[in-house]
Amino acid sequence: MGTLENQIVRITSRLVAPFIQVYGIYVIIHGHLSPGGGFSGGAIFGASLVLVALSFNLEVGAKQISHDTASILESGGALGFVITGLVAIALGANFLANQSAGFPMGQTGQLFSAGAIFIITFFLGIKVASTIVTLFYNIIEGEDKSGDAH
Amino acid sequence: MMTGVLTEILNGLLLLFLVVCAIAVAQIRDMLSAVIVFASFGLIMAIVWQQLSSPDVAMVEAALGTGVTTLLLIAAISKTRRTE
Amino acid sequence: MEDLLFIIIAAIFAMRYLLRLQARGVFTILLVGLIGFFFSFTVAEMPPFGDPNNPVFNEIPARYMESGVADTGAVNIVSSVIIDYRAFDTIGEATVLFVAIAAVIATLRSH
Repeated sequence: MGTLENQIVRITSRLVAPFIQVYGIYVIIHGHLSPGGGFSGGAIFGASLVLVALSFNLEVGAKQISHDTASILESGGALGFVITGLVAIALGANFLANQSAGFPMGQTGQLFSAGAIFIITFFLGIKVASTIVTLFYNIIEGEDKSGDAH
Repeated sequence: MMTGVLTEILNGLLLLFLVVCAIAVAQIRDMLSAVIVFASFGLIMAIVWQQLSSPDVAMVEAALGTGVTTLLLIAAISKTRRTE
Repeated sequence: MEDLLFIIIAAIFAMRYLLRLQARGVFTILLVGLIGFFFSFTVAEMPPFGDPNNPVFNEIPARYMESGVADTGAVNIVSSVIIDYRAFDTIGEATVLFVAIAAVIATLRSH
């Protein structure tokens, strides 16, 4: 099971990773209430997934989120962003309009409020997190399959 | 009044540390050490953004500049040579 | 205070290279000194940080701060600007991210 330093790194990252993930989700879904938003929250969440894959090995990391799932989420986040803009057109307003398109605004200051901002922040967080995971996996195992790895 | 002076001293020290880190990243021959010094550069940069009262940018800098950039650069070093 | 700091650091590194003085070294010192002088001059001429009389505080941030909550329903003004008022910029940013990851996959994935 490896040396002592390996054990320390693994146990620490296994303990810390859920808290980082919860914090990332908190930053994403509170993007319209507190500092943060889709970009920073997605970066925190993706960094926690990469941390687990880096401290254990790539198979354990791929068990958390597979490559195909990451690719689908990455495309789906961008697609959801554009579709949210197009829904505003279908509702009779400009592209990416929020209040004038009739999105449910809710009570100001509550969690489920601000209409399209909440939805777009959620999709943006998904997209950024899966982008970081996909980028890491593609760099770390990119050239190995062709056989001329250094 | 006193806290204002202390804040000025703190900001000056942070900026001095930023300059030292930037020069050290350019001077160090070992790539892995340079990446670690670059991570500390990003961390100090996040504190400077917080001092400039922009916590959004500070969070992005702390997550991307310190975490993800370091991971990607270490992954790139593991694919190439370590010394310059 | 900060510009004085930059001048001192530039002087220290100039003194380090003064020990082995060559034509290239003199030229480098002059060039670095010139760049440092202009940087310090620019920093000294900048408006003070956070002053309400700065030229960036015109009617546009005033509009955002007055009616941002009523327009978008978001308490965080930064979020209401980048996702509601300037959402088209954010869609361009997401597109840049998408194109970057597509280029990395096309370059590095071998199969």
